[in-house]
Amino acid sequence: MTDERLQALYAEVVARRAEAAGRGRPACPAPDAILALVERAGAEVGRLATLDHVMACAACLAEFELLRAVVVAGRPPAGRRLTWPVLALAATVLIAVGLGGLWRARQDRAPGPPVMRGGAEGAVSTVLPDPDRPAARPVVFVWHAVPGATRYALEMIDPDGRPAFMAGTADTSVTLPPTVTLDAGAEYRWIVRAALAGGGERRSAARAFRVASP
Amino acid sequence: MVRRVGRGRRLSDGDVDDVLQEVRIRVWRALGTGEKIAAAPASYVYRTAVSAALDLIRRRRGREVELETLDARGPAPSGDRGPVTPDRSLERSELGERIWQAVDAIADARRAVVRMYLNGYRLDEIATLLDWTPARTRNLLYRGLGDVRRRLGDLGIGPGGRTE
Repeated sequence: MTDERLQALYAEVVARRAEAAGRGRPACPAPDAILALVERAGAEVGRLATLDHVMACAACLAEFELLRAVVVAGRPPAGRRLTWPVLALAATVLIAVGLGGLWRARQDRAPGPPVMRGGAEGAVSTVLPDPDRPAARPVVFVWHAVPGATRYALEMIDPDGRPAFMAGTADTSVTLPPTVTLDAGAEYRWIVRAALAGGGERRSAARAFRVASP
Repeated sequence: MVRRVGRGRRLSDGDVDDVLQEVRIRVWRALGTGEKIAAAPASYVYRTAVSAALDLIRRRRGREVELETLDARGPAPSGDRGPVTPDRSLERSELGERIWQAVDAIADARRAVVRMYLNGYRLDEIATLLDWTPARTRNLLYRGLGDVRRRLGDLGIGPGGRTE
């Protein structure tokens, strides 16, 4: 039996056992134990036991991958080829740092409502909500498709400049979920970034909107 | 392109988005201004990302427990819940179970390495995670796979057996 066939059959049995096990996971290691495995912290015997379980449990395997991506993104070994999820998480760090400067700079430069632009920076052209009239609830964010874009990330900032909502989508619209409450009359801002297939990025200009009283 | 990444099949775009959102919000809430964020050490952002991922996992586990409780309280479904299983699928399923049992029976260190390999991880990824030399990792993996094949052979599965 080839390694590939062993791997395929093993994957099937792991998935089947996960289904049979249901949602309860009393035997699963704590998330901190999985993190210790990923960070190579603690005694080897304990890490091997955790690894043995994780590699036999579909639910723990997904958690392991998430933590592994975060850890590898934080400490990429030299010369290692990184996969997309890892790069995306690494980009998180850059975005988290970069957005702060971006939004502050915009607020300092242009206290009035921003204008929709279509230049190099504003390569993502926004459609709704209209900055000149109160948006209906639920607020729907709409923009024009960008050629070559594989995914869009929307960020909404509250009147104090804090992130209030973020979403990722392959579509060109996002509906604000009812769990995000908006104050009538307050000015919110939003921006869309398009991730391009070649690895580049385009973004919209920051755009303001308000909602009417419910 | 994203979906073609092998390892990425276990890590969905949604998971990445969830952590991304959580990290941004935490960094913003904790530091408040662009200047402070820009000055934050990489180690701080790293710990924030790890903490966000851990919290996400804990929240999901909590929801799983709630759903399990609801399932247990809900009415029993009528009719047969089990899917109709064709013979071929059953054979495959039994073969998978035999492989599972064969892996289960090998020595601890070899078993973890074999499981990782059977989940599609490369030798260098296994060595890095366990902080082992490539030679040690290779040795344990090959011995472990040998054990599995031997046990399957004893059950009549594989080159020396009737079934594969």
